[in-house]
Amino acid sequence: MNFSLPFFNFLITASLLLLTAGVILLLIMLFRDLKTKKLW
Amino acid sequence: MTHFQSEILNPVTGWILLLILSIAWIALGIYWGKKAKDMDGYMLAGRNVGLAFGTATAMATWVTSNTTMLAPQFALQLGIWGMVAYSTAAFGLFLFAPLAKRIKRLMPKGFTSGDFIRLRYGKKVWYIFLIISIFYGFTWLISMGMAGGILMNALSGIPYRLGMTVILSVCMIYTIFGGLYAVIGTDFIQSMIIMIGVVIVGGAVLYSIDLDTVYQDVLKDKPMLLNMLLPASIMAIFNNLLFGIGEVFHSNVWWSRAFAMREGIGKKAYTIAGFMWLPVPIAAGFIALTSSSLGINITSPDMVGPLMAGNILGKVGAIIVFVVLFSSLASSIDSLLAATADLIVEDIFKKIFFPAIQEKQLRNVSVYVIVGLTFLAWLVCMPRIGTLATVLFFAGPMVASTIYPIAMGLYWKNASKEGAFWAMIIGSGAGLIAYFQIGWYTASLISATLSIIVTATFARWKPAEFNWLKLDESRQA
Repeated sequence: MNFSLPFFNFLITASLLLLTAGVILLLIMLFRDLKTKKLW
Repeated sequence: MTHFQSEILNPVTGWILLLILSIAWIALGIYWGKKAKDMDGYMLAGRNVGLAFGTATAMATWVTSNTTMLAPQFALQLGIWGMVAYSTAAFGLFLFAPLAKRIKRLMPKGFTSGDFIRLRYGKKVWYIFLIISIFYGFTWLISMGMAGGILMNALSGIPYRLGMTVILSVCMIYTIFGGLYAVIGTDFIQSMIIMIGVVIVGGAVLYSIDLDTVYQDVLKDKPMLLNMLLPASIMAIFNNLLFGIGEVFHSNVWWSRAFAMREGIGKKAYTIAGFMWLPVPIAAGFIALTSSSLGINITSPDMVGPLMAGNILGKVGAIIVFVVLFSSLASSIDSLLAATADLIVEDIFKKIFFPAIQEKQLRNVSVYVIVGLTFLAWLVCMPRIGTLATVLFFAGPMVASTIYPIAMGLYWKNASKEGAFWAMIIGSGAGLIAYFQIGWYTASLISATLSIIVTATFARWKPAEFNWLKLDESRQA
């Protein structure tokens, strides 16, 4: 029994999208912490 | 001597990149280090780290050179399950998230994971824990130092000893100057570099080749890589999962971050970091599966990631890979230096030998310990014994034996010191026997299973009645 093509596509596309979302989220969190002076 | 498939950058470009990155990390470390006025600042970045820096430091530290180098190798040898197996290490971060919250609440003034074991289970368990934890931290440090030298050499032809010496020295210098402030600050930039770099390389691969073609080619040439029931891969999942959880639960690298984060941040930061880490092995690993479609013959599986990036993206791809790998190495080496030094200074030097030592003297001792650790690691790394890196895997069953004494010790009043002691001894011993007699992929599994049985049996058979207030030393003082 093999992994299907749609699953293969999903796995890779979702990983790259999740990483892109991670970059955006990290930047949002950074600016929010900078604004509220809660960076550290 | 290991021979690599090819150097994807010329040595001059390699040296220029190494110089720019080294100067940047040291300058930032010195700049941020000015904030460290006392030991709370130096060791724990003032205990007030926010969500952005907290998340980034957890994510970047957990991305080592292994994540970006071994994941493609796992994909090439174990297929889709291989990439997924590597991703399960993210559960170490997910499961530590609630623990981070509880640690901060129970020990608002704690310094190290050793503090918890000493206060919760007493000295006998503490000594064993320190041996396991320092052994693990040091072997991880050695494996990162070696990986640094080997990678710099393989990517750009920089001689192994020079590359390894530069990367260890740079991390040592900025950790000495800036303590955890420098480590966490640089981790933020390093996490951004890692994520953006992996997305660019992965995106470029997707742009240059159709995933349907890759799938069909793999199905034709190596169908077992798409097999859902590949036994070795399925076992690798459980072993990786437990090793990952053991590594995170016991290591002071993660505890010091839990202490360093502001109240209410730890749980969120570790959870988000887990989600950011989860896709890295898949996004970095799938590139290896495109090798047969692109007609690239792989002779060094551990170099498949950089080689594919260099082939598809040319010199730009090679530079991105170099910078990403340097960042993943630095983000782990600095954290290991800081956290292992804290464990030696706080638990051994202060708690065992010199309880009355002044804060200023303690900071000087910290500097000596960081220099000493780097020097020792450098000495062991010098001969370039590739197989020594596998010593890190011996630590797998040892750290797996600490999972349940720590998790139960944080939540169950009746988890006892005898239970913790025997869980660590029996778990580590049986795990090491399994490592040699059965296979590496069973070691952590057996160790963790015995550890939970022993801890739970003692908790029921000979229960303790622990008072949580004892964990807060500031209250007792």
